[in-house]
Amino acid sequence: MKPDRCKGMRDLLPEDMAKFRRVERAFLDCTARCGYSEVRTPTLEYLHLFTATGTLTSAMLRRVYSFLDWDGWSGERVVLRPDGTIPIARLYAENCETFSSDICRLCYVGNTFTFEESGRDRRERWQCGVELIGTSQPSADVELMRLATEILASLGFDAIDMKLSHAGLIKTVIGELGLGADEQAHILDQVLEGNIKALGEVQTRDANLKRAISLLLDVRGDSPGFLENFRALLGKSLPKFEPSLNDLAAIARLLGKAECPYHIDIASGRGFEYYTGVMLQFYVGKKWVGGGGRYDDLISLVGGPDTPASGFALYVDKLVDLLRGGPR
Amino acid sequence: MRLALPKGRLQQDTASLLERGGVGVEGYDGSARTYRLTSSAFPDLKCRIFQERDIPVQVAIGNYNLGVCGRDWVEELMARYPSEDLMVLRDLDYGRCELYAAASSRASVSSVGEINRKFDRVRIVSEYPNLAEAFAMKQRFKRFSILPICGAGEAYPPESADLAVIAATSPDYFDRHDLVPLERIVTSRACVIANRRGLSQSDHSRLLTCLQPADPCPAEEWILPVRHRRVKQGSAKQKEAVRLALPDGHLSITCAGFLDRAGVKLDGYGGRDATRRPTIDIPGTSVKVIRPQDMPLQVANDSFDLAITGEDWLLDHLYRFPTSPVEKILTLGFGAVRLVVVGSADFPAKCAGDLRELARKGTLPLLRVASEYVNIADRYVLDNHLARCKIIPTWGASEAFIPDDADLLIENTETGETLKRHNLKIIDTILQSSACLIGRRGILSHGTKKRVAGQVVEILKQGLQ
Repeated sequence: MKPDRCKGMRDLLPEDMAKFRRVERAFLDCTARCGYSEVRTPTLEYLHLFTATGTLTSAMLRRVYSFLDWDGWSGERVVLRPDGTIPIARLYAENCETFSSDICRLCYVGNTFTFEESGRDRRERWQCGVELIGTSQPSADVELMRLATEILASLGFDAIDMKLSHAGLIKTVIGELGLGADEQAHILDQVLEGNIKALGEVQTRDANLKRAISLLLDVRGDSPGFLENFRALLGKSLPKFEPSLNDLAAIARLLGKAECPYHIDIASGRGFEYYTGVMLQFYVGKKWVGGGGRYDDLISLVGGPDTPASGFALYVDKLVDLLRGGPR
Repeated sequence: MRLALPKGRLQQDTASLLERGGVGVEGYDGSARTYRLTSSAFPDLKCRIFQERDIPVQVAIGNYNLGVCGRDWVEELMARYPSEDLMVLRDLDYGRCELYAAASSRASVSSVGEINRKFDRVRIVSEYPNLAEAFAMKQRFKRFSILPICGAGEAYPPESADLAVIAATSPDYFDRHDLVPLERIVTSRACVIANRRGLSQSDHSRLLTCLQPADPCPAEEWILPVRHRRVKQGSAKQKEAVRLALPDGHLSITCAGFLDRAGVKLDGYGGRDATRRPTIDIPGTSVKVIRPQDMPLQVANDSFDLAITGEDWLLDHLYRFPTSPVEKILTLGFGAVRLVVVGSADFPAKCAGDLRELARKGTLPLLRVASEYVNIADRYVLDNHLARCKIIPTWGASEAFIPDDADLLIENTETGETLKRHNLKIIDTILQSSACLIGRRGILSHGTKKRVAGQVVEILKQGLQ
């Protein structure tokens, strides 16, 4: 009888391991060139790091691997880290005095663990992540976007697509819908899980808001002019959208100057509750290979100083799969 | 066809349901001294009596096709292990209870939000740890601890917990226990549950027709008193009192006798007028009555300084948390039991050596070990290299698990008579256990409580002679 491998876990045989190292090397080379220092956080963290509002959504929390440690008689659980960014925020909060510069560039290669019921998808996932801490400038977000595309290009991928959304816009829409706290949290959960249509399904009598939701969900663009159109249509009637639209437009202008192609697709905005600004998704062809965004509140939320930050992660398992049959 | 039936709270009403439906399960009214019953109307039906919270697990894993239990236990299982194999078929018209997150009326809080703001770490006790955790996550508590207990949740707030997730069987429950209900979590009634695969593959229609509620389920809301008394916080003197936990249940009778021998005067313990907070005549000492199973964890968490529990429960705790700050101070001698490994009379091992040999040869099938002592069971299978083993946590009535639902049982026995009656044999003895006094490490050697704690120990020693 052959021994069983745990459901949802993966062995990397020599050929795959070589591809894994290739992705890792490309990532570490590019990040080192851009001044990022590698760090590593532990696999186990306290659960409470992930439970406060603005960290992980309830749907994500329901899928974490949590348990009582051997000294866990207090009833506080530990988790196999379900996300790479929150532990980095904790690392920064704990050690911020030791970083000499106001702007801190960190990168990591690590695994995350999320339960997936069928056992067919992976429950352990590897990611290469980058965090740019200490600046809220749109140029910082653009630096990250260019770095991600550079890493993917250095692996030989050419059909790279980058989609931009904005957590501020999505949260403003949800806030304006006049829902109760529970319902708001439920809708945000669904949106961040990738079901943006949940927004469109909420009934609202506000015609302006209805039009805004429809525009946000249905229209995609790839120029700052597209956002100006939005602003012209919504700006006066819904002034709360203005700051997020301005932010996104500034990023789009910088990307245009750098000749870095992108698509603005608000409906692509999935990810984590901690995002406050631009949200990024990276694709190779049609395959989703990474994501990230701005999280200006997270570091203070985990006990650190009020510090803006943004970051992204590329999913190593997906890139290894692409390299198997894809470009060399 | 196999039907799981509840022991305890729902037993009488479920017996009436079966009688009304013409199922005719002889002995379920309590007259038979067995957990396995048959039906005169359904010759193919095998019934088995379980503790209520075991039933959803047994039905979900497919050991039983149908079951009757409270919806609260279904929700508790599903909160952590959402299983597509478990279905609630219908609610019944009895066994109503409401699960609430409740605080002490002395805590001066009137909403869950206030709890989150007031406490850096919210301590939640519950017999429903999975629902309690789901609740804490839904409320986005910044930081929380879930302390699982076997019962007596009403005794904990405010000193030993900030919230209790607790089942109330009547609207006046909270008032009687000085609690304020803050948020409803589940409304529960008895319900009929089924294993989905069993339901899709076999015809249970005749039995299901019999398991009908007599009346439509009443839907009226409970009207709960909204009140939050502002009571003075305990004085510094009260805070410095040595907090002693005494056991409830069958151990309370022998414990009360022991304390009497030691010359301790207690009001409200071990008799008809028993309360959760008896008074004691040892100055500087306060007493609460809780489940002995829960005491080591409570002492470890500094909710109590001293507690009288069983050595078996202390060992189970220390196996789970080896560096726990709880230690045995005194062996008290009463409530003696043996903790034994038990198999059916025809199990192919007579002793632990046989068991290890069978495991070594690989001739044992996947072993199912049922026990209330999950951590002792876990350690036993590891120490004896019983590879490929399933530990099945149980909540009592464990002896009836063998042979259908488990192969081995780790259970306590006083005389061995019950085991013999169930045609079981003892394969190994893990521990001779009796009641003992436990305390937080260092309680007798330093700190402000060492003098009074020392006095309590000296007084209890008088009971030993």
